[in-house]
Amino acid sequence: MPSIPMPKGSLAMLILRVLRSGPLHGYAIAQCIRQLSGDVLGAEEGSLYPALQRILLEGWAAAEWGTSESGRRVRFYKLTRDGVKQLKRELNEYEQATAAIQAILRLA
Amino acid sequence: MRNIRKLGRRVYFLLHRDRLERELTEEMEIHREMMPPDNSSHFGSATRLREESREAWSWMWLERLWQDLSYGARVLWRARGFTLGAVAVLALGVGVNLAEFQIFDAAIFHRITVPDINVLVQFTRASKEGARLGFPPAAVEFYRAESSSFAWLISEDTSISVVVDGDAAGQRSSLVSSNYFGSLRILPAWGRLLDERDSQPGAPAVAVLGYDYWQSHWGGDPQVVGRTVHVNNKAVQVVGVAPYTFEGLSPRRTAVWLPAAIRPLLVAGSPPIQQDYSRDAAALFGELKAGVSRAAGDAELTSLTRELIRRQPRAFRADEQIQGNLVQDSLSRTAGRSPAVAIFVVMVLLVLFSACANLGNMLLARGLARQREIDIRLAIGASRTRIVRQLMTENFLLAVLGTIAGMGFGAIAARVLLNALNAPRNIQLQVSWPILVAGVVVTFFSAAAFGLPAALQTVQTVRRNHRKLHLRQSLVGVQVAVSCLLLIASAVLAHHGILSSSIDLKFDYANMIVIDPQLFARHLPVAVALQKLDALTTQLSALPGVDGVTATVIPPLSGRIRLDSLPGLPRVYRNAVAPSYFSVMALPMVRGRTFLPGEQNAVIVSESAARAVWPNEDPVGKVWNFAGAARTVTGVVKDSGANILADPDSIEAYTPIYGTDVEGSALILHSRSDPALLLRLISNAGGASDDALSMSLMRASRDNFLAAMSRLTTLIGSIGVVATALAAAGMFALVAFTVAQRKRELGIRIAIGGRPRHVLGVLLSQNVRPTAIGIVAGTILAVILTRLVRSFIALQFGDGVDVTGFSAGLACFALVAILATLSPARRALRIDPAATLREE
Repeated sequence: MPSIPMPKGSLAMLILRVLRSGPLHGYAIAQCIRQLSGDVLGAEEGSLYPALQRILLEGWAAAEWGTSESGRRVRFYKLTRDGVKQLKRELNEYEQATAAIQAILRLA
Repeated sequence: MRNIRKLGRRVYFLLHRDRLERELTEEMEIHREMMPPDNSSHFGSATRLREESREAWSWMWLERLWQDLSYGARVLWRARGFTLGAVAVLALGVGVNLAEFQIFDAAIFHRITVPDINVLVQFTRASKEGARLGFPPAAVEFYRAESSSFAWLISEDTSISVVVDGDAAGQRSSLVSSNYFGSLRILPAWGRLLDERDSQPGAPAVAVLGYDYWQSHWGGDPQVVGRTVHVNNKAVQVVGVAPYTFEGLSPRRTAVWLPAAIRPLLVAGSPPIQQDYSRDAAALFGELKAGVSRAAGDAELTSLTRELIRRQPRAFRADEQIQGNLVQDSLSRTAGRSPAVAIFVVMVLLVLFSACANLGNMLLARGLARQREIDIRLAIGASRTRIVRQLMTENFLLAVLGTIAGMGFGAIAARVLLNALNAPRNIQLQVSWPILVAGVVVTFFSAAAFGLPAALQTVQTVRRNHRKLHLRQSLVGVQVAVSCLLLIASAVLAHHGILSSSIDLKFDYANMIVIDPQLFARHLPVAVALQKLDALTTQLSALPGVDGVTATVIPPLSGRIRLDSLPGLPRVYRNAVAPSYFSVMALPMVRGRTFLPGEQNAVIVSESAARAVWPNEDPVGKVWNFAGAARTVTGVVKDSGANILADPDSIEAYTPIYGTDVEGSALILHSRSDPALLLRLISNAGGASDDALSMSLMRASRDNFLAAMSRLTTLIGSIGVVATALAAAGMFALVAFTVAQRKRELGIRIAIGGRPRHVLGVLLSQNVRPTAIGIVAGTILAVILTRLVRSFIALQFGDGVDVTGFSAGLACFALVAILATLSPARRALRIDPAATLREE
């Protein structure tokens, strides 16, 4: 099914947003994103992982192996303090941009 | 900080990549298993996703750097003319620095070509009265026999000159301990070097020739080994020739190496060295045994000295301590203190600075030429950072090329310069790591320091041309200032050299020989020494063609000097002379008379001294506290001019020869014809009376004296030449780029009938101000520099500014500037307006 192309970096923002409520493993993150945003991940749930790797590299989240609710060995991602800051910054920027766009649209 | 942590994580990933990739694969696998079976194809290609994940961690910037580098290389290759110019400028600036530093390094640290030079220790005798380097030969023998801290101890005594085969002037000898060559691990060029067997009692007298002396006096004939020569009229067998890389530990060339034990044979009346406490003549060197500290070595020698003091209290001072210093340390300390070295360092750094300014200017002009390319890149979305990075990558490439070219140029320049300086052969050029590293660092630093402002200015769009002009003008100013400074300095020193060589010596130095009977080496009572001196004077006066012979302690132009600094007076050159000195030297007595025989508390002053001490008064009969006594002035004599060579502000005063001055006296012989013809006759006369005469032609001493000055001029001149080349390149580039940049405007001006004068005016107007400021700044700096130079060389033009030298330097700069701008200016006048407009 066709999906809207996502702006660059917005997947990372979504992941950070999802992780704000607590540590989650990869599959759970995918589920949450689907719930929150419909079908943003589209046909490729796996594209979550390159984004997660980038987040690890930036130090916005830390990963730790653990056991899932169903008893499987999974990796949990947890937001770091840098990650919280980054999320705040991105939300701010996003809101400003949206406000600007809305202002323009209203004028038009 | 964040970036450092990020880099840390990147490195961590690099180190653990296998494990981390395994984990990622596992994680993705689990995810797929968790997905509802009908949806599992929605995960995407695991391989490609792993690839993408890896990219997040990868060293992308390396790849980008590579892109920048290859793009930069292509750009530089396309603009070959510019690249060649920039590399040449960098190579000149860096090369001249490398060359000068190589020469300093060689002259200071590699002068003594000894394998163990870095552990070689020289010993000093320190006491409350000061430190001295000379040890009595007997003390050296005692230390060598009794000490246990040292791998070896060696001594070297260069205090006497010897006459070899009655041949003309005296030769420098070096009396060395028997283990000298063996310990220093010197290998002979021919035959063998001196060793233990030559010091055995009853061993035949042997000698080793210095390489230079062997070349110049024996025509480099290896057959000399085994020959018998006469040293101070004593038969000595030549056993070998020292290698050309080794001229002794003292900084003077040795002609003949002799065993220390031979001294009683050569100098009549010397005791055997084991009992010779009479002279502090032997320099002592050693190497510590492995694991022994220098302090322990010093302590052992000091305690051995206590024992010697008990035996020979007169030969030592009671509180004497022996201190060992690394030969290299003391060499570098001396060099570090030398103002000459400091000034050279400043000058070569200025050349580098000028080269950098030049480079900055070229980069700026080049940026201007590429304005369109850069504008387009900015317009299609390249960030300024990205473009600055690209420009800096090109500068980096230029720096690499510049370093390579600079090293090549530096190596060649160092060799050429060493030849020009006629340096001793044991100065060896070595490309040492610190020099190489310094070269690389300096080049990259200059490329960064001067490339960055240019790059930043290039991407500026706001008020771009105005600021760019400012930066360019200040760079022009810097170049002009440095070039002017160096050219003026070269001209002033050259002028000084010319003045020195044309100083009018009032005596007939060309026909004079200085003959040193070396009585001081024989420890004669004053009366006996005086008798010998008189006898020799009589004997020499009787030789055919001799006009007169007289005695003096400080022969003019010799290596000796006695200076008195008296309050309120210029430096006084003091000499002790025989009464006949003034008539033999043909220095007329202006007033009064010369000394009477036996007169002691008298003094004769030069005209300049009379003017300085008693202005407008008659000094004859006045009493002057001079040279440790109240002396009556008996006469005033014409200035000799000899002191002026070294010090134009100085004055002269003479005292009679008496007491200890007798054994220090040398004779001056004035010949009616070429004095060289007399040398053999004089030497024979010395042989008959068992004296070891050392002779030198006064004209040779004068030439040596001036040679040192010409070396300095050569060095500074060489820097001046490079500075001029840089200035020429800078001026050329400046005008050429102005022409290129304003081609259209100039074309229009010509089209609407602009006269050549106007066109030139347009071209030059924007460069006139910075050039003028540069010239003024350079001249002021030159005044400061000559003041500094004056603190260690007495320049011939006193304290004032050397107008001739300054004008010559400035004229030279003007000439270079005009020549360099000639060709681009002509090109500007030949612009075809139609062609220019068509191009647009």
